[in-house]
Amino acid sequence: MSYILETKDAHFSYETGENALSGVSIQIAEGKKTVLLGPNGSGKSTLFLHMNGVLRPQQGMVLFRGSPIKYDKVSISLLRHKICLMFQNPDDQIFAATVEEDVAFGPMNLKLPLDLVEKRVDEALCAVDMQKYRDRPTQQLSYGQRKRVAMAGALAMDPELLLMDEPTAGLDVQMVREMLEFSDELNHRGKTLVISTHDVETAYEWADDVILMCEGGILFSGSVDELFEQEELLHKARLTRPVIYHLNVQRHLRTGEPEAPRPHTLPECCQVFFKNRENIVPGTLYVACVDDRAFDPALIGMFKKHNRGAFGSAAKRASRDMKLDLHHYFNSLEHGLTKASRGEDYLLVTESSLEGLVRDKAGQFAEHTNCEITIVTACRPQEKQGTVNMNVDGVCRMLEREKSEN
Amino acid sequence: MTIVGGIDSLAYRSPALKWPPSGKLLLCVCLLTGSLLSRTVYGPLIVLVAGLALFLYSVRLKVPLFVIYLISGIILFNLLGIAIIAVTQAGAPLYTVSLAGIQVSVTHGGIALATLVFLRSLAGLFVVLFFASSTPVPHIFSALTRLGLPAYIAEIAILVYRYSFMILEQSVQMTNAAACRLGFSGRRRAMRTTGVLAANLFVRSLEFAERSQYALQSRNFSGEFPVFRKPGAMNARWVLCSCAALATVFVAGNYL
Repeated sequence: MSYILETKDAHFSYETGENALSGVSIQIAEGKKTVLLGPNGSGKSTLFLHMNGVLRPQQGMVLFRGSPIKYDKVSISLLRHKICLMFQNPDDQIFAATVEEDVAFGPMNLKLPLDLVEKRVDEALCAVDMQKYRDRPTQQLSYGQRKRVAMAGALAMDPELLLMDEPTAGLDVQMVREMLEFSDELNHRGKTLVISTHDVETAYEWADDVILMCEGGILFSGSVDELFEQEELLHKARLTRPVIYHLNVQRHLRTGEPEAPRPHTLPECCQVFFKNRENIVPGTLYVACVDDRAFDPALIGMFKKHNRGAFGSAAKRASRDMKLDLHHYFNSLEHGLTKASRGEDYLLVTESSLEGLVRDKAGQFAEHTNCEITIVTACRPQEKQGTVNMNVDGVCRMLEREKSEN
Repeated sequence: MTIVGGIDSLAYRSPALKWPPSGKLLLCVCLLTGSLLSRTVYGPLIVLVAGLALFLYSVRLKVPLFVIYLISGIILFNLLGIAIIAVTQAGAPLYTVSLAGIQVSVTHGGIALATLVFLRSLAGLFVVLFFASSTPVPHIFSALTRLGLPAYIAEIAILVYRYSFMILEQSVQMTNAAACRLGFSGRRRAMRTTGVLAANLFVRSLEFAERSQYALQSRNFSGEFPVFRKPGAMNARWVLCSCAALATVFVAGNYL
């Protein structure tokens, strides 16, 4: 496995003399989603500042792709091009007067050509759905909007590694879900992501790897399941097991059913914990891509109102622009998997580049629950190997056939 | 929202936002100079009409309530001033009143001077309001940098501008928090709370400055604020237009 970033025995203390980092050695795997988990004051933000080269370890070193970071002006500028940090408080990060000026700040500092900066600003604002606020003064935005602008500012740097310090802190439920979905999307597009949080639920559901920090040191580094097996470590870090993990342990103790494979998400939890009354054949998850020329909005009417949703930032935007009558604009994939596992069909409006992510998530669901859900790509005229594709008539016929069978 | 924040948001919505800031500044300076050089009321009157038209264009004919309050306050203050001017000029009295045994007379010269001063101040007010409501602070400093203002002064000014909003927001939050816990009940307690607030605001601003420094560094800040969407640059048309405005006002104010 290749590591994009490592720290070796990093020590750091602030002017107060308090040890913020004491011998931190971690490895961040490339292409993965890593969570830096720890209580408040455990040194997560300080470690992020080291990863981005803002702070320099007083002892030890930070390595990017196996080479120690150099702190001269040119090297550090190149490093910050590849590793970008999104601050916990957006007000710390945003200092330009308008939204687009702030998003352009990083790329302009990289001395990129103006047309490229323009392109990056457009893409970043579109990605966080803030393009209609681009001329707005930043002080007039709500906290959630400022958080999006901060995210866009980081994305406009087009980094290989994106560090997000408590990205979900202070956000409402919808924004938290959207932020996590968007992080999945970024990861699927090839970015390595590290988020810091003290929220064990987020860590358990979202992360591939987890690093547990406490009082400036590392208590654990490894997979999520391995961490939550060690309850004493969590107690040491003033954390608890996630609710889903805890419920699964209780299910095992009370019913004798095997603990593994463990459910990590709510749809998996529903499938594992609650048996269907009758033997229900799983439904189908229909995937329609808005960027497909053959995409036909008429398809939406073929599904029940509560069985259609949008997944992916571009798909959500396009769906709103086209005024598609969709019910779920966040958590749609989770709803789709839950409904399909209950034998219903669900239409997921997304974009072709995210089809793979949908299939990965369905694969993960099958792995954790032994419930195989068929995925059908709707509106695709051309056949793709290994997938079932059909046009609107095909979907219509299939739905009718299923109805008559039931 | 504060008056500064309000005017700033007006500027970002103004149809004159993209006009060159230095061009706007030159035009305003020419109009104000013309008004000051005028000996009759015609010059200031022209400037008043021009300033009012430009201001109304800048706010798209929708004058916010806080601007109306602002204008009303200034007019009231001016009325007091011109009343004093009207009664303190020498000449044959037009009208005399007795106030607590003192004879106060309004003269011809007094009225003429008071009218001129009133029109000048009103004209100046609308010209300045046009400039403020169409030019955000960063644009002003961007233009001044082009005119030779050292980059570090522009940098400090832009940072002060940006963070003053944050400090204001913070101070409002702290004041509310103190008020919730009866910090302002009674004069002595209010004074003590205000002192504590001021001291803590200073400490908070230092912490904030440190975090901002980290944020600037992490975004590759190299000591200069790049401007992405530059406002238009001044050209000969603006210079000609401003000179023409000055000449018109001067002629009207002195030879009509």
